[in-house]
Amino acid sequence: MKLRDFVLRRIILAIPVVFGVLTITWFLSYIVGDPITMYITERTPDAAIPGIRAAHGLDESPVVQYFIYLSNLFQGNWGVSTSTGADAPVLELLAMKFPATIELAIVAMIFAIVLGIPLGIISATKKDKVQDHITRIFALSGVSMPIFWFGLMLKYLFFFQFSQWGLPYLPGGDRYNIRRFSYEPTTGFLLVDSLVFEHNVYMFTDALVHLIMPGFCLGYITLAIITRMMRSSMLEVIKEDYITLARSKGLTERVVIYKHALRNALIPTVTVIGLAFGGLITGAVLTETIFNWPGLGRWAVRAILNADMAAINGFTLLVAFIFVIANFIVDMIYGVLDPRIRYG
Amino acid sequence: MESESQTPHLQDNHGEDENAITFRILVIIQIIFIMSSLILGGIIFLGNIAYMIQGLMGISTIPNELISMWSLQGFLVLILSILLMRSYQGVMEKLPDAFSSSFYLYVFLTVIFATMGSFGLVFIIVIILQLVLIFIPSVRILWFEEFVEDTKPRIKETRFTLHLVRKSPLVVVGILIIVFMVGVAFTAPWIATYEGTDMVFEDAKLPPGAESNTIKLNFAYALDDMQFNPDIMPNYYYDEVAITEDHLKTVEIPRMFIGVSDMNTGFDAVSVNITFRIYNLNVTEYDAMTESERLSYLYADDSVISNTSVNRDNLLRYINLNNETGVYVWELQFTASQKTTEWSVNTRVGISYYSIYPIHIWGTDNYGGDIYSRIIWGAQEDLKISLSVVAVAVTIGAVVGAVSGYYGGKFDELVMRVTDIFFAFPGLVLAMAIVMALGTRSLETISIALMITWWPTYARLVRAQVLTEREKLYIEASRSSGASDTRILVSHILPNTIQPVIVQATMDIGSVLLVAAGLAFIGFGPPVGTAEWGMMIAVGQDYILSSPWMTLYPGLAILVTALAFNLVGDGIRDIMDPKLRRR
Amino acid sequence: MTTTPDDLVLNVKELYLNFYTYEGTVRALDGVNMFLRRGDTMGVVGETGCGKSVTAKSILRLVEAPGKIESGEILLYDKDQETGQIQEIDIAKLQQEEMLGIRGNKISIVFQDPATYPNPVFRVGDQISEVIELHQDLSLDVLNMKIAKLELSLSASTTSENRAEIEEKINYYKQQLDNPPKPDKKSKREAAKLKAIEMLKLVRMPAPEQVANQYPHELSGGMRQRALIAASLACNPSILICDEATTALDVTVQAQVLMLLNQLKKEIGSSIIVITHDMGVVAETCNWVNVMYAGVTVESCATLELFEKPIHPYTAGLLTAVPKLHEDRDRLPQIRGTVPNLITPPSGCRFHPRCDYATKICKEKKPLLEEQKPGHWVACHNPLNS
Repeated sequence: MKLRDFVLRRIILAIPVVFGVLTITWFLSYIVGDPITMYITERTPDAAIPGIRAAHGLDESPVVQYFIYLSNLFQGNWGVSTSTGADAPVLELLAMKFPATIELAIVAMIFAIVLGIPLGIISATKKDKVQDHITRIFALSGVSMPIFWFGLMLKYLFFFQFSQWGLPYLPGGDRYNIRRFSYEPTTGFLLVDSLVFEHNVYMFTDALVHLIMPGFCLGYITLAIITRMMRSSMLEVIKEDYITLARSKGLTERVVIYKHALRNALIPTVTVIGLAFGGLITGAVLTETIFNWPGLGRWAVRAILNADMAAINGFTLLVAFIFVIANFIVDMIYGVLDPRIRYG
Repeated sequence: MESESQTPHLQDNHGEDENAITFRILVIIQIIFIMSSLILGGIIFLGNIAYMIQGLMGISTIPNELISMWSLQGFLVLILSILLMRSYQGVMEKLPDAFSSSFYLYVFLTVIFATMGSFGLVFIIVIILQLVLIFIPSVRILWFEEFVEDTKPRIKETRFTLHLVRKSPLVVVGILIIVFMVGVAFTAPWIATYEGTDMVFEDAKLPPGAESNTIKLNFAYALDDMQFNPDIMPNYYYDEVAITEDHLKTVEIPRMFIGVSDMNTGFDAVSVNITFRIYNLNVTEYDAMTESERLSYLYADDSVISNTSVNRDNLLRYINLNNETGVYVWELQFTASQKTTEWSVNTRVGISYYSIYPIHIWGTDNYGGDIYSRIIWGAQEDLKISLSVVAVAVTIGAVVGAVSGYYGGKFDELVMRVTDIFFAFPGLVLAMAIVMALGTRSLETISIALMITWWPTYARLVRAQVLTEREKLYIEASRSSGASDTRILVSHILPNTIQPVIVQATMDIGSVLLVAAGLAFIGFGPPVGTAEWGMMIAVGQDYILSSPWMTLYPGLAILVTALAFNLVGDGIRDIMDPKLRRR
Repeated sequence: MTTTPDDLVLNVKELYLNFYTYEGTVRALDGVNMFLRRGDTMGVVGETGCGKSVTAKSILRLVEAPGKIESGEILLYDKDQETGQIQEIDIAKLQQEEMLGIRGNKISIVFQDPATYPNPVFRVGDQISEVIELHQDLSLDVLNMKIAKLELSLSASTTSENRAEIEEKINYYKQQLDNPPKPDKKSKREAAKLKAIEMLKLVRMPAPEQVANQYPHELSGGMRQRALIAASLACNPSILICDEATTALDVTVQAQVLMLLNQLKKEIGSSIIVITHDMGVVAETCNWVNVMYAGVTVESCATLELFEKPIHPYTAGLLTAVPKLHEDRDRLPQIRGTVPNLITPPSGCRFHPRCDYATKICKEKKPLLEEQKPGHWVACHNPLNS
């Protein structure tokens, strides 16, 4: 398959998914509440409401409303979010909050990959030994804990209790120490901004310290998924004939495992990593609330609690886009790792 | 030579005759059995559907008790009977396969009928009759040897699997925890010190191990709504009560409670003298004494004349007892001037005493609910949610996935796009939206929301498995030997795809707990006060700094339970994986 | 078996190997004896499951748990390249780390299935150069490569100043030829790659430079097997084990590969062990045969003698079961019974339940491998043709 054909095929496959999500979000906002709430706020005078209703075609039949909704979306009119205090267009808010969440998700992903892959390898090579048991319990705990509970417990111990005991403690929330630094987002990625634009190393380290707990908390589930996948694919691979061949060449066990087996075992693991990235954004909903992280997740929770349909829809669409894009990237990496699949 | 070859021939003939008779009986019984169980299942199933339609349309006719009681059983009986009917067709053609499959179906049906009371017993007897018949030697030769040959490797595999399970400590630990948790859920009424909904407001936010701040009023009735015989006058009743250490745990004094109310002697309007006495005696001494002798041991007494026409006096009194252990005899006596034809009365006699509330081993929540008890009650609710969600999701997913994988084409495309959409949706948001759309926030709506969000996983899984299995040579072989699609799907493909589904389902039982908890956290949990783990954490987070135990223990409960299911699922995957399975 | 070690490269003595499984201990090898002379091609034949491959894997110590070598010796007579001294190494007693220097270097193996044995995610050339880089001292090759490169640029460059500089460099490198310095990793890798292409040429691979950059799935089965053979011959091993190396190939490709192996044997000076169940392959390629039955060596002699006068009843049965062109038979004769279960092997001689010549002693006593005739070892109480 040519690379171009492949990309085209992926895009064609993604279209129904995106449309499906669009339709469902519209349908939900239609049945759950009055869609007019997407465009008005508490401060909108009552008299203006019929006008707004007509302007957005909300007095038309549902089918027409659906198409109006779609055309609004494509014109960048995603509605107005009312739950953030100051009313603001959803698209603007998404763009504003997105970097914080992505930064957190990337850090979480780095945690997960850096710890997960070696743990999976250890677990597979020491199968049924103590190391394997410990690793598995550690990994499976990640998918057995409510993420917000884990966050609460981390925060209670490392922030609250540690500060009570006079130990060096980790910050319990926010992206940076608000009292020490003032931050004007340039790219929105605090780690990038602090180093590249503000040249403030203290701010950078402060941001890093603030990322530790939420990053680990969010990454733990993904870590568990990666470890498990790595373990099982590694177990499968080391039974393969080409590993026997590699051993018969006189290669050390290290080289056999980390060169010959790892490269093959990574192929299914990468798929899982890609899929887990979508899950990270959902996980962020809970983590960000616990750690007071000014990202999409906390905003979404607030929107949910206030039945702010415009914000919920915006969030959902964004997650769906991220999911589709992550899948696409996974397929590309797949091709790089596995020479049997070639796109061009 | 000639005679030798003739003798077995004769025997064969004879055997076939006998065979034919038993076989005919078997077939007749089978027909009767299948008809009646089809009818039974059908009635219950259709009745339920009718009931549901009624409910939707808002008509309310109370359904037959039989229908509402055994809705699940009826459905299962119907499905199994249909399967059994198919294997009976084979039995009539004397296919060994059909005999063994009906044998299995008998086992399943027996289990189901066993839950259906005396009604099911009749069916079980018929099943046993059929079992006896198919084990009669002349019928047995038709199938039994092949059956044994068939099951031998399966039994061997199972033994080997059990051996591997025993050898992997994590799976064993997981199974033990699961068994423990299920045990906890079942024995909750006995091991929980409080009810799930109990709130002792004085005890709000007590730390683990704290004693209760308040005391609990208890009643121990010696006589509860006793009806006296109006024909005998005077009519009296007596018994011994003992004041034990149990009644003296607090500073409050134990009291005797006497309640006689709502006396009605009908139109006769007889006035009745009600006397209540307490003696400082035990019952043997009481029996040995005359009435006047007893009076010198009188501890307290009270009486009232209840006249239905003039005044309907009730006797409602608390009488303080000595604050020490001891034995009393109480006596309740009705005396009327004349007999009456009608007579009704509410009577109660008992001790009222105070006891200390049980210790809050794991502390209390903000409403004074006991965390330990609520976790135990929560085990019931949470396991119920997880199991039902996974069971339904697996069923829907397996059917959709199998059909779409096996037949492919347009339907397959459609299913895959739909699952894509489901995967692209943030799960929590979708579940939340469904709960919102369903309106009420209860454990049921949460379950339904989770079922809807969960089935695509299984559809994907089963589809992928069916796709790989479909291409295998043995399927080709059985298709070329003329097996129908349904037969290939049910008897070849599904058994070979079931293993990853089992693994996924086991692990998902844990995950459902987490998502349910997540829903509770963002405010879409069951009503406040429900003993459900996720809800307990969600409530506790507001008090994390002052009373962390409110959050800690329910979280640990989820962690341990979900971990157990995950350990078992993960372990089973290792054990069942043909690539890792080694002897 | 007694032979002078001078002409031997490998001597396996009384090898016992068990697999500890759930169903019981599988006594897979129960006294395997075989020796390999320098320059010989030795065949190991037997039915499926008789322990041929396990023997091959235990020579390389590649048998994994639950398999375990119980007793016996696997003696490798390693000839030192410079002194010509012969050193005796007992492979059965080596640690796994010590085995690393032997695998792929002194003993290498070609496996059965060219579809599953090459690593799918690495280029063919890399998989060959990997062995070379691992086992060979490439310092001389690196120098030669550098000189060759410079000479190439010398012929290309025009200015005299440049030429002088390059010539000076060439001379500098040439001085080092007697005592080459340790090369750096990058140039070593480059040299190994060049050598890998040479190896591909050696195995008659068409367009070796191109093939070296291809992935295994892009090659045909025969080409893949050639590549695997190239990898196993890359370090001039003294023993090459072909474990059913041609079984998965087409008959025509099979013939090509066999011919190639015999040619290469002479070019490289290795000895070859051919493990097969195909008597035809043995007849074509081997000059010595070991016949195995249920984990035991039952007969060992020169190929011609075996085909003409087999002594062990099992070998005789095996040979009559081979179809012959000039014979006209309705039904091929077969050895009655089936291969025994090795968890509960038959007592005494493992072949006795299937043997037409079995006597009481066969059931009671295990026959030893003895030289019944000069150059013909048999383990049988009732040998034929003697």
